[in-house]
Amino acid sequence: MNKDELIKKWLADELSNEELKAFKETDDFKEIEKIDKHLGHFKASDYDTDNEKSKLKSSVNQQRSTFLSLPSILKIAASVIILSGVAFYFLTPSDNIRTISSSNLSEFYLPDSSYLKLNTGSIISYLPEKWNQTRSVKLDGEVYFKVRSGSTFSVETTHGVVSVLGTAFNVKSRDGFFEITCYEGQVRLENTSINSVLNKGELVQIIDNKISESTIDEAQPSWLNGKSSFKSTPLKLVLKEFEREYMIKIQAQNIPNEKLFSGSFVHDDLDLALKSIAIPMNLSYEIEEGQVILSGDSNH
Amino acid sequence: MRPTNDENICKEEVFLKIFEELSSDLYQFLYYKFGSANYPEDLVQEAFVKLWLNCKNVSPEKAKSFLFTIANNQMLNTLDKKKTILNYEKGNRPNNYTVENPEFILEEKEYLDKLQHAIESLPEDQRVTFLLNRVEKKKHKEIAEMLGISRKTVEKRLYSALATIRKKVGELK
Repeated sequence: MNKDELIKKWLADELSNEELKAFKETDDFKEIEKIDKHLGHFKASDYDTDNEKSKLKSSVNQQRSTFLSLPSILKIAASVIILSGVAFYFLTPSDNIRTISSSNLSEFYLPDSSYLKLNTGSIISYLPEKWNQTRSVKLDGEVYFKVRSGSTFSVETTHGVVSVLGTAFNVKSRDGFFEITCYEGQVRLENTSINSVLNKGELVQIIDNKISESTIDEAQPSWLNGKSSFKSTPLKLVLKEFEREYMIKIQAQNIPNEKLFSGSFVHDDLDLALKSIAIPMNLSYEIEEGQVILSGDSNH
Repeated sequence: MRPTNDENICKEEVFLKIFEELSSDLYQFLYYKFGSANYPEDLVQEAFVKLWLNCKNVSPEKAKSFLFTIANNQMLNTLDKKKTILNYEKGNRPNNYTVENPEFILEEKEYLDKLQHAIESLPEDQRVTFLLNRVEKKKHKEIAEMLGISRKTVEKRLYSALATIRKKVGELK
């Protein structure tokens, strides 16, 4: 067998044992083996099927909800269309959804050059082709917005809808926790239990359906400068944010979960960040095998 | 007997099952073809949303070629398509890591750089085929089915790709 044939058969994994043995003696093999060993470095990053599946589900559901949230006059017409043929809805063209996740892009511009910056573990989606008619994005996570003035710009979250004209603000929407801070101009927040307008320097929090308002002095959110800051936030939510930021697991033992924490932690120094929570809260911590063990005083 | 509707893609569970079966293959295909700078995850999402919108017109057997074609065309028609870049992992060391001398590390880096350029210079189809085989350890038959080409074509692409790479990283010359 000639050289080329041997290599082709090797690529197809079809060499017999003797052939393989003979091939391994050649200089060709040594060169190819070196290439082959190094190719592993170019492996595609892992594909997180579960995570991507839930993104897909929410895109598909968003298409349903954009459809159902049409003004009520149109709803009657809409229901007629549903009755007269579901196909119409599924075939409505141009519902092209763009989804941006913080894992692959941390900041970007929308078609009208409004600026967005995504904190760790956040997902934004919008309809690029409908952008000229409605400036609307769906948000899961925490994002800082600088919106170009123009028509109403709205941010939909599971906790409610935030709408603005042109301004800078931060929306944080996590499980059981919602916070909106206005840094410039005015922001309107609407959901089933609240309809209020925030001015510059004002902040609204909704934690487990309880609403509280306060003010801030900073000109922009601290996480833009590599810090997470909290104002009277239950410790368990602070720890969740910590886990997300450092991508580390925290084992909590005897922790006063509901105790309120005000303060901040940095994003680039695990030990310092832990100290800045543990010391004021009277906790002790250890870092072990890639996880943090945080424990409270068991005598209390 | 009435025709059964069990396998209709418009049914969410059928649709999601197709996602589970095909999404990671599609992702790998797009990743090796266009590189990470062109957001392969997003392209996968877009292709599946399009499949959902067209669920009435696509039978489950045709879903695979629909998805691969749509995603591929989507990329080719994107105006801001970025140059394909396939980065190698720098921090990833095997378990039997030993202290290496600086000279070795430097040589290793140079070699990986050369290899990276060689891979990036391959024609897209050859690159996908080659990396699916060598890195993802997919068999000729699987690749042929995935890309809708013959086994003979797979074999040819692999051989040409390897020849090009050997020429570009060859140290003996």
